[in-house]
Amino acid sequence: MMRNKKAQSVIFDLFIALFVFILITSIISIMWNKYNFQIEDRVNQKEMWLKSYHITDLFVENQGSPGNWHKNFSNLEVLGLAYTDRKLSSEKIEGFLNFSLSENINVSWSDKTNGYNLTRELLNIEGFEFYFRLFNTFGVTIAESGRSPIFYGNLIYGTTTIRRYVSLEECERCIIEFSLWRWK
Amino acid sequence: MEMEINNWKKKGIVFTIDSIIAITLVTLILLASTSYYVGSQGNLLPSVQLIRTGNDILNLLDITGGFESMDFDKLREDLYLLLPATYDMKISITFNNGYSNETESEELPMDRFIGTGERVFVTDNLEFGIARFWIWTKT
Repeated sequence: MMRNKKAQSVIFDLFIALFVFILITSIISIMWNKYNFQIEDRVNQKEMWLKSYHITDLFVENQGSPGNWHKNFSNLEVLGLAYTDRKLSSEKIEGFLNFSLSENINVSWSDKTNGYNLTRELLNIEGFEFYFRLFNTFGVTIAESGRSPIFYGNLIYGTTTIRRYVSLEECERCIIEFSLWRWK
Repeated sequence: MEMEINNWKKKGIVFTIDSIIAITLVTLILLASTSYYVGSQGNLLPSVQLIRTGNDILNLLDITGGFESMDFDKLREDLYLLLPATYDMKISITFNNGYSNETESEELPMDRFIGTGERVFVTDNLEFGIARFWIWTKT
C-alpha cells in the first residue's frame, strides 16, 4: 500500500515536472520565433532601405560610367543621371528610360536582353523589383520606369520608397521616387 | 534507510528549484536583450531619412538659387511645396557680413527627434553664408 502511494507521488511529480518543462520550452520557442521574425523583418527592411538610398545616391550625384553611356548602352557599367550634384541631365533620364523600358538590348557584360532585368543586374538588386518616377512638386509625372508596387497589393512582401530632391532643365524643383520591393 | 531517501528527496527539490530559477533568469535576460535589440534597431532609419530629406532640400534650394534673394516668405512657400506633408522644417541663414534670418515655423518640438544639418554656400556676389536646417515629423 505504502509503495503504491510512493509510486503515485513520484509519477505525479514527474508529470508536473514534464508539464512545467514543456510549458517553459514552448514559451521560449514561441518568443524566440516571434523575435526572430521581427529581427529578420527589420534586417530586410534595412537592406532594402540602404540599397534604395545607394541607388538614388548613384542617380542624383553621379554621371554614370562611361560618361556618355546614354548614347551607347553596350559598354554601360554604372548608371548615373546627374551632370553635377543633384542637377540631372535630361538626356541621361531619357537614356535611362530607353534602357530600362526596352525589350531588346545587347550589352557586353550580360546575355540578358530585357532592359528591366539588365537594370536590376546593373544596380545589384536582382532579388527585388523596382519602380522609378520623376515628378514635379505638383505631382505631375515627368518620367517613370519599372513596376509600381501599388498595382500588386497583397502579393508584395515588403516595400521601401525613397524620395530625393533634384533639379533639371525642364523642372527646376523635382522629386525622384525610387521604390524597391519584393514578391511574397 | 527511510531517512536517507528523505534526504535525497530534499536535495532533489533544491536542485529542481535551483534549475527553475536559473532557467527563468536566462529566459528573462534573453527576452530583455532581444526586445532591446529589436527596439533600438527600429528608430534609426526614420531619423536618418529625416536628416537626408533636410539635406536634399537644402541642397536643392542652394543649386536653384533659393538663398540668393533672402526672401524668406518665398523660401517658406518653397518648403511647403517640397516637404512631405508629415514633415516640418525650419531654415536659418547667416551671411559673412553678419546678416541672418530664418523661416517662420512652428516651435521646435521637444518630444521627438529633430534632424539638423548645415550647408555653406556662395552667392553670385561672392558673399558666403551658412544655411542651417531643423527638420521634424508633425504629430
